[in-house]
Amino acid sequence: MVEDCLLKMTGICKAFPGVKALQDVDFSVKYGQTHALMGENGAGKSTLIKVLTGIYQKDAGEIVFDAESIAPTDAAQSQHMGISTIYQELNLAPCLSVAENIFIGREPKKYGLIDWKTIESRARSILGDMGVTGVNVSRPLNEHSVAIQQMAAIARALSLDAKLLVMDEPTSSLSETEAGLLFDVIRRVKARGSSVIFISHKMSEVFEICDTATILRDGCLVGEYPMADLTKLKMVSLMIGRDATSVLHRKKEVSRGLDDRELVLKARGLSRAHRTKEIDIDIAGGQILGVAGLLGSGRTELARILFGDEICDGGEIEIAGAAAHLRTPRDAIRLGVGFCSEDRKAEGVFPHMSVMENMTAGILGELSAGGVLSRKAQMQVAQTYIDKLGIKTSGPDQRMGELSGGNQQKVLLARWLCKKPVLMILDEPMRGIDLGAKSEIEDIIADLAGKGVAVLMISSEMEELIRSCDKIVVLSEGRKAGQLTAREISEERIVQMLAHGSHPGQEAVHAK
Amino acid sequence: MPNSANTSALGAFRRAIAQRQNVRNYGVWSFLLLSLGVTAWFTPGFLSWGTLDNTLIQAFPVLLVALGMTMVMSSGGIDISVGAIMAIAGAVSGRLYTSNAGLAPSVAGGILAGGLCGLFNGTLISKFKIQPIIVTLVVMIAGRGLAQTILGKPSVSFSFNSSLNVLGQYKIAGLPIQIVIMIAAVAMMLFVVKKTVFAKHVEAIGDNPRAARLVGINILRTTACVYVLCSILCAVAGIMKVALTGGVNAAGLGKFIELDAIAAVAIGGTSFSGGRARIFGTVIGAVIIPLVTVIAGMNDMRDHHAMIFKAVIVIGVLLVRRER
Repeated sequence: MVEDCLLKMTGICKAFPGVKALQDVDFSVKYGQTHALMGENGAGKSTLIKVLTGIYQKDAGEIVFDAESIAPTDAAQSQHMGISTIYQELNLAPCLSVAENIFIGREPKKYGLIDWKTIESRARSILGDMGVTGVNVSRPLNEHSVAIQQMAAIARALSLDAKLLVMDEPTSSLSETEAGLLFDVIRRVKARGSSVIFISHKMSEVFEICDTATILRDGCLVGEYPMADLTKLKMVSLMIGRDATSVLHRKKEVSRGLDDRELVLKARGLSRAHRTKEIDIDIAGGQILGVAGLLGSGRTELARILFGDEICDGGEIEIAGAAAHLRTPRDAIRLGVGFCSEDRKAEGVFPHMSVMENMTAGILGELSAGGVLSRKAQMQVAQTYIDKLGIKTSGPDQRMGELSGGNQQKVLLARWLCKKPVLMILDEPMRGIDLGAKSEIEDIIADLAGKGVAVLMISSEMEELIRSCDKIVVLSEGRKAGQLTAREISEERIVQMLAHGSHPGQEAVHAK
Repeated sequence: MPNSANTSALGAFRRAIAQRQNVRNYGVWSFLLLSLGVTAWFTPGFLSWGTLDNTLIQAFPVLLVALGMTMVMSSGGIDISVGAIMAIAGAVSGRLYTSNAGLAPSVAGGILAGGLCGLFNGTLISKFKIQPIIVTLVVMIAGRGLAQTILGKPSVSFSFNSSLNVLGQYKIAGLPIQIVIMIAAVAMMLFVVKKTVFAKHVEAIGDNPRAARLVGINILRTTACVYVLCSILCAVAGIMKVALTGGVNAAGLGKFIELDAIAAVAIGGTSFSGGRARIFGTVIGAVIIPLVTVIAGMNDMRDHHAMIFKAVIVIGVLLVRRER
């Protein structure tokens, strides 16, 4: 048999405690091909890539790369074999120059010292080959745009003679023009005979750049399709495994006249630096407001301003009818605001402390007398929420770091539930969580709203917003691009608003 | 690979991890017992009340300082000004005492001075967000100068039967006052760490400062309190040392104790990057260090040899304890 595949993964299985992340998945990439790896969050795309690059060890299956059976045990090893990954968050050294980043670890030397002349001319020529010119390669990486930083990462991979480039959401923080530039680079890479695995949530990009798509769902292979045989609608249906039109239906019954209820949050003209501009937000008690927006649209800044973690330069906030001057999160918490960060690990969990301690961290004052804690009261709270939210843990004393992502998120939600907030801000509450836990967290949020709590929920997954929210605000480039009421919510409308940004077309004028 | 083999491999891995944990948790205890056993074998007259007394009294300042240091390190910080603060507190007490202020006001003055140093450290660190090592380095150097300035002369001493010196030699129910204070301090810190909101907030700040801010913990106040607590313990150590020796030498009092204290905390297993405060571990660590000195002395080891010996022991314990 003629081997025309650069990469052939067969029968890959990988399980984590409680989750089968990959079940008997086949995946192959031909020489000189751009291959899309598609699937919803939690479908197993990143697990598959991590198995390929040696970050995870497969439980079963075989990987054949360039006609050799391989079993990489770490990223450096797979890189050495010719597999390079360009991550969403670039793993480069931001303070070193572009040239240094390209050659880091194998700098050309002269008399034992770094040969700057060679390093810089070679960096320029590699970038030039990619069609990227006019970059000052001796300036630190962080003085260049994200697009150029990404080019540097690709240049690094190419200079390492990468046969296979893995790009995980490479365009998520690029403008359209920059993305176009990236695609040109991808085409050149392809012309050189290297292959690319392209992971993106942006359907149109996949159709623009890819030759073939492999679709995963819930850790299983759905199939491999030439792009020519696919339409966007068909692809979405395959990814979610149901008829697209039915899935995008809302979980919630449409509107319950919530707009007439008293406002819990009334924010006017919120601005901060260049990142949020004149944003107005209203949320009534029991209402779930979704915030849609791309990375860099100001959605996370908005959440942080409302929680007092960032101080706004202009605008007014009213919480439960009273003017709020938020200078620290403590100010917001005192007014009954809760907040779950998009980055659980960095800003949420106390990894070395127990589940119980994590859950009660915000109410220790109430569980103590004269500064002395009541372990009994702590236990009681912990046990109540472990039962209520179905948190899978060996007990309240288990170390938080040992829990799965979904269970950690439930603990963090419980941390605020036990404070009985009036306004709950959730930034990407379902990110990195498996499907089962996702739907449970959806239920928790719905339940919270059912108790009259105002909820602001940010998500980059449109489906999550459509399923849960009563009202959706679309942000674009720091501005409110529009607002959709329950009856108007549809993926199409949101996409239009996202696309038109702050230069509203006729659809986006729905903002009041 | 069949599934059962996989799960059993996973099980074996888990068990190995658990055992590793045991080595970490009990390694120090066994090390202490082992070294005690070996020394008792080689050192004539080691197993006596005299040795115990001697070791514990030598351990006294290190232990007190290390208890404070445990909280500081649990919050993710470090305090290298502890020796200088001992000197400042000793100098203030000594100066007050020689100006006939009386015993109680002298002691109280010294403790207050220590507390103020801690407030200074804590404020610069938490409010102005300067690195703990820099802030306390400054206090370590300038503080010793301040101590000498306060005292007014290189050293003062008190008569053998002055009340301050009597305090240093005082015995309660046959136990030297240092040992009584030590037991009380350990009991207090155990209570604080196990039972108080304060200690949980400290651990939370050490474990994840961003999360601590977002959950509404008052980081400013908590951090300041940690450094004040540490400094007060240093002050007590400094004053009691003055009382025991019957004099103040502002240039030498508490010198290099920061190293012993940090080593004691490290041996005890409190992580340098913050998190759980391990009081029992610190106690063991604070006993091992002077014990080594005592053993060296009883075996007629030269001072400079004893220092090297101590370093070897500390490295040995840290190797047993190291985290992967």
